[in-house]
Amino acid sequence: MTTCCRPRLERSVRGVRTAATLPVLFAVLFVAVDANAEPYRPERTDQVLVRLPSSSVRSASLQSPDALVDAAMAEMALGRRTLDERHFGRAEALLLRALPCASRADDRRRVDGCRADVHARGLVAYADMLQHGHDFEAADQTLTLVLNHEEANAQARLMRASIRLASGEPRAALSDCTKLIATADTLVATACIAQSISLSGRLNDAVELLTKEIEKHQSGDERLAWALAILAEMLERQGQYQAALATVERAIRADLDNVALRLQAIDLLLRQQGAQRAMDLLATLPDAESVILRRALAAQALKAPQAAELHRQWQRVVAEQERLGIPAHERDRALGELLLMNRPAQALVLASANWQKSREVEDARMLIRAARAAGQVRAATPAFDWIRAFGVEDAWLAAAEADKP
Amino acid sequence: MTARAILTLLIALISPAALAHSGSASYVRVLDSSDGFSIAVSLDLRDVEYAVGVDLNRDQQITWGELLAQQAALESYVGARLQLSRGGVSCSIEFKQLKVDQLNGATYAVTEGSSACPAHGALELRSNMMFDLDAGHRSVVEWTHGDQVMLAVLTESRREWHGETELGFAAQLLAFALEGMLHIWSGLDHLAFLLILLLPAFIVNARGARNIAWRNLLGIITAFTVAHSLTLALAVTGVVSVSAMAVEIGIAASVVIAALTNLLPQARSIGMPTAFAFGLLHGFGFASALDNLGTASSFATALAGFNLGVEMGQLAVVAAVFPLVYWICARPCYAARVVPAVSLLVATLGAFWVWERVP
Repeated sequence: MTTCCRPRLERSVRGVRTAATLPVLFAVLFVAVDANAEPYRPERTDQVLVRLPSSSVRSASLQSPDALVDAAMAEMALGRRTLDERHFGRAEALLLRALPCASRADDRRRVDGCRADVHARGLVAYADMLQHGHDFEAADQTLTLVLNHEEANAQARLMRASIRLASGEPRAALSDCTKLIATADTLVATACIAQSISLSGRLNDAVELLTKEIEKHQSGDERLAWALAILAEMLERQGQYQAALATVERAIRADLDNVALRLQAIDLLLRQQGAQRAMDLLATLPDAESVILRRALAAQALKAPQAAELHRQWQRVVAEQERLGIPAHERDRALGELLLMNRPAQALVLASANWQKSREVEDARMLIRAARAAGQVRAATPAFDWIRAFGVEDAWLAAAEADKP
Repeated sequence: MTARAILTLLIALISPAALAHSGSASYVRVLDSSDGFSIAVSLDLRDVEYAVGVDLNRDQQITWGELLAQQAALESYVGARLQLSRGGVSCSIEFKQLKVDQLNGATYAVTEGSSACPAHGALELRSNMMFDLDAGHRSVVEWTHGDQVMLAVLTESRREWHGETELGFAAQLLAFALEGMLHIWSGLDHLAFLLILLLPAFIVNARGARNIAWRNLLGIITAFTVAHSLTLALAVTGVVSVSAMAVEIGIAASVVIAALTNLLPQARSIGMPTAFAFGLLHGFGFASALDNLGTASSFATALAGFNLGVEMGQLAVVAAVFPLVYWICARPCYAARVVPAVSLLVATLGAFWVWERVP
């Protein structure tokens, strides 16, 4: 009964306010905090003001579409390494120059005027940028445009498979994965197929298939790390937590710079009472919202003295994101609302909104947890329906299903 | 497909989630006083480096000396991309001072200056800073005039600000009153509870005439209102925190208890205390609707407006069912059959809600 309140609240308020008024109202308090800091002039000219984590290529001189796409891809790689969203904004600006046919109006991106025979590379990079922002529908359409023209484009094929998996469509993903056998290397194709069938009632077969393929690749690179990350996720779903942890740690060793792998290991540790090890790994990561949230969760689990400050730091970051009108990563926000703020109703609103866009096993877990905590078990029906429709196997979800009233 | 391309892609595919910093933001602060406009533009040094180039010796760090050396380039960049106008007349901007500041954990270059603008007319600001280089950039505009502060967030697709203001008191009150009204109308459990308590207030006296207990009716509505207003305020201000699940189950249980109470002979006399006691519980339920506004500047207005809306919503429902109950209560079967039957039906519904909400 009460879960409907927030969407309605937003609709009704929107009716009488100008755009972005709520973030602005919210910002009034926040700006007051900022105002305490006074600008100053340093005394010494050799005083270092900032250390640049990495250098982006200044793009003004770039002209050719290929150079712009290369620079955009480099920015996105940098963004993934540093967890700094500005690099994705820069990548988009570069891609909008490389693809004059692409447009962005009111945050709605379109590639209607683009031709796959002319812009294939740029379109694949653009789709990567779109999927990063969870705009899966637009990313899928962009990749379909490319694949309709160039069926053997393995990069586009693999990305579309991944997007369809993230959208909860394992059968559609499998269709793309099987086509990779002819165009990508065996490990990549096998990992893609295993991930798809693991969500279609064949988790054990998927683990066996991928384990055998990985055994053929002892020396590590990004491909092996990626395959290991998929295997670790499947092992966790089987309830083999120690094996999953060992696998993700092997993945980290295969690709030391990969921040996402570290976050995967951290999430696994946090779910399996490994908060101290999670805290150690978190210390190696930059201060992004996702990292601060996990630090706060780990500190809370450890009852560490810095828990309260980390909790406040996460709230400040969220407030700043809301102030700037930046779309939230709703699953993470739901987790914070549920476990840090103890506001299950808000967590459920976010988890439900997240489920509309992203349908991975972890999204289903989040929706069910939030629905239960909020006393609105029926709100988790879409997740249970999805589990049944595809025969999704997961130790946690199976326990949740068995426990369902 | 090159091997490099697919390797790059695999890194991306490990986690498609947006797990990142909030992105780049700039701040444009304008102080509107009798002496004219003073203006301060703050840009993250990482963005200044990308837009203008400050790390002259390419050692991956920016010193105060390097920033000073590029002061003219920075002022030129900002000056060319920031336009102020009032009453349709463009205002010139003159930058005088360069400083640095710490904002949200990042170091910013702050260019301070003044602007010559007409004293009256509609304000307008347009910014093209950074948007061509970073499509996700946000620019926060803060315009201060005396006690009034106006804020806006500019984006790549919304680069102009036209002096819009926060909602006025009346508009905010109306917005939240509307929300409160919609909340009570959609909350079948709240309505069922209220209506079931009101039924015994309509009875027929021994001579067969309608005998509506107006004081009882008003008392029940008032008791419910006072109680839920109290807990609503306590919950949204964070003074009291109650498990949402417990509240939802409690509200459902209150419907069952209130309905069963109607079957007792003394139902009419205990309506008011029941309304007050369980109204406290319902207030916690209402609080979830206002939780997300707990830090808004208009908090008091939001709370007052929401409560007002809840009361208006309640009264509207009572007014809507009043003719039907008024008509039916004159019939002999009202007290003997209608009230018990409706009460049992609602109790069953409430029991279903309890079952549904228990995990």
